[in-house]
Amino acid sequence: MKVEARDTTKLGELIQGLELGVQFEKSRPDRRSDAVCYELLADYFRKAQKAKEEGKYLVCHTTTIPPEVFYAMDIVPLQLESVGTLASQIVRNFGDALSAARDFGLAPEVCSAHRLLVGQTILGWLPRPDAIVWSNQVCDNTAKGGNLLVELCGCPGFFLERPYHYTDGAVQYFAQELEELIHFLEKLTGRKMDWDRFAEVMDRSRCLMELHREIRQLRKAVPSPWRNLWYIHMMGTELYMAGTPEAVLHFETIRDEVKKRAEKGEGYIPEERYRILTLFLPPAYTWTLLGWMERKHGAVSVAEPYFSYRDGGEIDPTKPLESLARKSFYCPICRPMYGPAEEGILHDAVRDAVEYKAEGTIYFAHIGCRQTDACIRILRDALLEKAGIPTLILDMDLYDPTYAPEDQLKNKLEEFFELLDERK
Amino acid sequence: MTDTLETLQEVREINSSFPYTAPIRAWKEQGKKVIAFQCTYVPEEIIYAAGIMPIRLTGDSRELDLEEANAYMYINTCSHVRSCLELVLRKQYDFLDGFVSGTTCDSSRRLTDVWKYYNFTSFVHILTVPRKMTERAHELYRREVQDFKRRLEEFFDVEITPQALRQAIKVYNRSRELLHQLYQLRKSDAPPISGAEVQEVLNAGWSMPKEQFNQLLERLVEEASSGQRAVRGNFRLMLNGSPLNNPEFTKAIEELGGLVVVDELCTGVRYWWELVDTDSEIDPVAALSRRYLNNFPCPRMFPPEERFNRVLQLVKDYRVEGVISEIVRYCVHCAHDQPLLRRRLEKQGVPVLELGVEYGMPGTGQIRTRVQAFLELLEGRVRK
Repeated sequence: MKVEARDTTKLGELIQGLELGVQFEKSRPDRRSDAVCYELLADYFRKAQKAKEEGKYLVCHTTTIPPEVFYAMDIVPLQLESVGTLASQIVRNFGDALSAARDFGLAPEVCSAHRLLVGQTILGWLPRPDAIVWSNQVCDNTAKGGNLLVELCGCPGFFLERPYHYTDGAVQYFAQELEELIHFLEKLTGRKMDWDRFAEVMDRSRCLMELHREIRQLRKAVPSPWRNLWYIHMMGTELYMAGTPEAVLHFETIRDEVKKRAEKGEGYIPEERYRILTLFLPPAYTWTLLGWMERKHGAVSVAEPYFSYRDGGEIDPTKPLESLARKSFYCPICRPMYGPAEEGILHDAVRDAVEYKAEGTIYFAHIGCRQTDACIRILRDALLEKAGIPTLILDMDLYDPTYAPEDQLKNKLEEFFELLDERK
Repeated sequence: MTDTLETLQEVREINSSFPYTAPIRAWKEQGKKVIAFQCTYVPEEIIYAAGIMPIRLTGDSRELDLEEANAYMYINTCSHVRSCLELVLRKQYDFLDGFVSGTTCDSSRRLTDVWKYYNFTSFVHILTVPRKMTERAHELYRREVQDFKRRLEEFFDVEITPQALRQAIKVYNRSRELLHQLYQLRKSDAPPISGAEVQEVLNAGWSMPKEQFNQLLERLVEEASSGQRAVRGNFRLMLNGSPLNNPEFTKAIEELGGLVVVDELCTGVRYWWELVDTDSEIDPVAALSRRYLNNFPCPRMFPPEERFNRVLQLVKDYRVEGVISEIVRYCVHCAHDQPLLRRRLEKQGVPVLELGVEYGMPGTGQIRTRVQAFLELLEGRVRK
């Protein structure tokens, strides 16, 4: 089955929604970083929408493929999960896409993120890519999803494989995989990699990493100078745009806002009541939950170990591919999701809970995410034993609001905040 | 069907005390160690060559109440892994001295994380298993197997010599040859053994020393080759999909008139299909790692065509008239491959019945109804 018809109206609606967001946030001086974020996202999708008419190559990819390679080769990347995530926020059209995936034969137990992107492809909501790139860096879904997409789009594909253990040999393996990806893209475009340009992209990636670490240090301040939603914004920017000047600008804007408050000893909210360790992601259909937690309950997310940690690796300009490979082992999402828990997410969560003085953990348990959910019990036990904090497990689906309506999530959160009060 | 095969009585006796079977008990009584492996990508020969008995970690071959396992692993972990964990938590695997797994799927690697955290056994090891089958992947996996060998030697204070490895390969290859012979018999119009019985045999093979299993297989193949027994069914079926070691499930299909002549399961052909190269010029670790990565591919492997082509070849060789795909819920690899595989099978004129199941589920209720309907569909095709 190959999808021929394309109607990117939905992508257009998504861009319009983001543009409206930019206008709105620009009118609010305390939301400058949000305006920057929405602006660069709108631009990201606009480039994907117009890639063909501008004579550019468009490569769709699944999460955690290092986008630096595409930017260095002047290829327009489109991270497929990003469309689903934002579409469920802004366009709210996920139902049709999930149905299309089901009719195609994809079992309902497959992560809704992946059912959504297959559904979007079947319905022709995305521009036709010149190639698809996917990897095993997160889970079995990301490792397998590309096969279906390649068949549906009728285009070439490349599977990028990362070993499980973080060893020098594994880094070399992954660097060679990246090299092979570059050869694949060179063949696709008929152009050679511009290694000088790649060095520039990697330098911006280094800047992004340093900003990430700087922000991480600033977030240790009490009260927290952090806005809960920023970790999702930062994660998106890094996954879609690492290596671009726009990504650096976004991180700098957040850093400046955090630094200003930290230096003044001010929190993002007037009264901080609960310091929360956040594990995984809130449902994409209700990120507003994070704002509600802040405003109504004074609950601040002080650290998000799946996303906010940066290991000690460095980018060596003389070894760009090895640096990119190494970065893929320790960057957010990749390290905690695909690697041994003991030295990864378990270690990081306990360390963050202690260092950031967390009082409780909220675990967003996405029913489609088998591999993160399988760690819930060990994380809960480790956080209680080693950091002395309780964990709330919120059952939900990242994209499907019928699984856990917003009100139900709020009720459970309120009960948890009462528990935290009792512990004080 | 004519009289039962005598060797099957031995098989049933062994399986009756699962998981701590009589052969394992006898082994332990000699003061020897036992290590469980999970997944067909763990090279058992390395464990065997260390003088340790490798056994396969499976759940019970019937549907269990997974209450304890559910408290440790979230409900979206496949029920195969939760069933294994349930037995561990119920202390039924307390005789184990170690556990080895591969990074073959999310459930398997997370089971290893849980196993390690709660220290179910003091020896725990996980191998990176590449998904690709390129030369680079082979070299990565060879290093992983080498590292596994070194860890085993250090932890249990044993030396695994090249001679011991070659002997282990010989024993395991013999087992594979005998299984090829057994499966070869299933190509006939009226095979001497049913699909359910073959599952019983394979179950026993994971719970006993391999030489003993080979002896049993020798007797079974000889007995089955005598031409005294014929199992009949209305349609020749292939059973494929997720881990399945529940003979009752297959028996239910066969009682309805289906004849399971071949499988494409990790508890079947995907476990034993390829032999290890015994060329004395080749380093045994390299030979082993190459065999395991090149074996009949699990749906996790890339490119998927490697698997699809082999499935289509089996369909042809065994004259399969219909495929029953049983997919354990949350077995994501199978779930992603299934729409693609189904289309390829249907293009070859082979109908597919897809059953979403829980591990150990009996072939009753809805399963029975759907199989019946599928067999009627096959019947209808014949009449046309």
